[in-house]
Amino acid sequence: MNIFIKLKNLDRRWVFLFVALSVIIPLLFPFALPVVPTKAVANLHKFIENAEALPEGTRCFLSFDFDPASEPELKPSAVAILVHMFRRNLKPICGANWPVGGEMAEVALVEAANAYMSTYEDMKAQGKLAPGCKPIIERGVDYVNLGYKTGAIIHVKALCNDFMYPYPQDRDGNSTAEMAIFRNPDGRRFAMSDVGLIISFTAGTGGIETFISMAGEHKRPMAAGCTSVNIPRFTTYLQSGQLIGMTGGLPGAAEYETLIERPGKGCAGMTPQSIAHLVIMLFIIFGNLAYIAEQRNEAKKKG
Amino acid sequence: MIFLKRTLPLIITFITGMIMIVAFFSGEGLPSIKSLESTLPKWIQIIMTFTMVLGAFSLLRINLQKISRKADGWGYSLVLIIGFLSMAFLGFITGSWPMFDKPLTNGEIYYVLCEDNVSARPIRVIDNLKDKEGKIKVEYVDDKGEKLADTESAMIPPDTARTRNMSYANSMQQILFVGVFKNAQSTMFSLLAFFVASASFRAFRIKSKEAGLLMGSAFIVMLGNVSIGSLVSQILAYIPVIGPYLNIADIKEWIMTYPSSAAQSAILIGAMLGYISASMKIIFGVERSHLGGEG
Repeated sequence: MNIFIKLKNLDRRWVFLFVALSVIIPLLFPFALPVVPTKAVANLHKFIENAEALPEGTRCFLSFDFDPASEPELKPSAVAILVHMFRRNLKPICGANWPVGGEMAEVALVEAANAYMSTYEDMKAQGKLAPGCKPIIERGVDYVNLGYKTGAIIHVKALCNDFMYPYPQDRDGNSTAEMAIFRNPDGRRFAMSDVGLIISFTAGTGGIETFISMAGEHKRPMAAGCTSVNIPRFTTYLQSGQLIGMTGGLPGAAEYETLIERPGKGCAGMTPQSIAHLVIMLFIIFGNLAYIAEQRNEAKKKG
Repeated sequence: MIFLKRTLPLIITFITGMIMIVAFFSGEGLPSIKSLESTLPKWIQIIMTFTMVLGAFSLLRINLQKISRKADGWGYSLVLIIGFLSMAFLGFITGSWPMFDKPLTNGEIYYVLCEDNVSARPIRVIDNLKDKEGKIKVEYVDDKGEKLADTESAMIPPDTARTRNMSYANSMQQILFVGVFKNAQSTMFSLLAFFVASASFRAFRIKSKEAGLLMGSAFIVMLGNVSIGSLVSQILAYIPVIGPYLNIADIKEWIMTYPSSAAQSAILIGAMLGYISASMKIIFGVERSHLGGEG
């Protein structure tokens, strides 16, 4: 029992050391753990895969509502979803409600476009590409990064009426009016109603909830990529049917990567995260054993 | 003055608030009001852009005051001011460089940003006349201006080509953003893992049945959220009779979908009702703290 009481007064630097080792060791000596997709992730994958729901060439709006603090959790799922969209010949239009979201989108787009183009021949040989897929995808034609605009919910409301007004130029200063990706066959100005799916990668406020608030106007299917800490909050929207699917944190990214058969940083991060969770659980158990031992000692002294 | 400071803002708030409410519920019955619903967001976006500028100046003023008074932690304010000004300066320069630069000249060497968004590679403009897609013809060259043997000419948007100095400014901004800002923010967030571990070791005690229930649920969710949960489920499956039902991921899903989601829905509904109530109080002028904290 005394050992547990001693444990109670363990210097917190030991806790820090164990947590650091639980992450570093699996990163240095990686080993694979099974990744089983959850219903929320599988539903999103199924929706993007469904050619009836999203025919080839459909434009999808991806909002990057996070900053570098949440990048390790959200970027892997963004890249996986973008790669899947390119393979399905869908056209992602990226925007942001967070000031550095445009930078986050740029990094994810470059990585996903490279991943798609470098595996084009292999994927084509395996029959895993949509018939209209091209070996080289072009900015402004097959995808675009519009960058950040102020306003959050007001910005989303403006997008419901017209994309060109809030975004006369893309992130790099190219005129959006001249871009093929925004051209409608009937000449109408491009609006949110022309989008097949809205996905927001959300780290906090100003993310998917702004699109949900405006659902009455745009009436488009929505999905979210969120940090682990937001999963309980957004599960409510899954249950109510407002979201068709969701990738939650790094595990969500790993599950999506498994579904598209392209292991990336999500799958690589599963082993350190699993071990770190175990270490934290062990510390909680030891802390409680120490608490029980202390309670018994006090009871003995009183008795 | 009281009219300008209090009465006029209250009148503006009331009128705009009522217009937005009427526009939302009017449908197509009141087209003139409905059209305002699409106009007002444009105004709000412009005002919000100005508030960002105001916020930046306010941040500068407060921190400059701290430095001039040598208040506690003035060194941090100094770092903030230096970071703020250098990022703003480099951002403005690189973002608005076409305003200051000359038109691209045939035969001259320029630089385009590489995919790592930090380094730049030299190019020579072959034909500065734009094609149908608004692109110009260039060839890739080495640092001495010699054409690279294994490359072909390429078509690029003219605004991606920069002069040497602009290319340096752009690289510097990217180094500060990617190398300092991104990494510093990621580090700050990562530190949370250490504090969560330490705090849960010291404070997460089963002092009651409710605390026990909370810990049980937390363990299931923590295990079910990561891959090792599947391994644990496979081991638990060997337990006779109940083993096959002890799937950690399924139990986690149930916890998240029903008890957790029910509590979250209640919180969300409560928060939204409070939001509506607070909005109505502001529209009708009952809540006036936004006019200067006078209640």
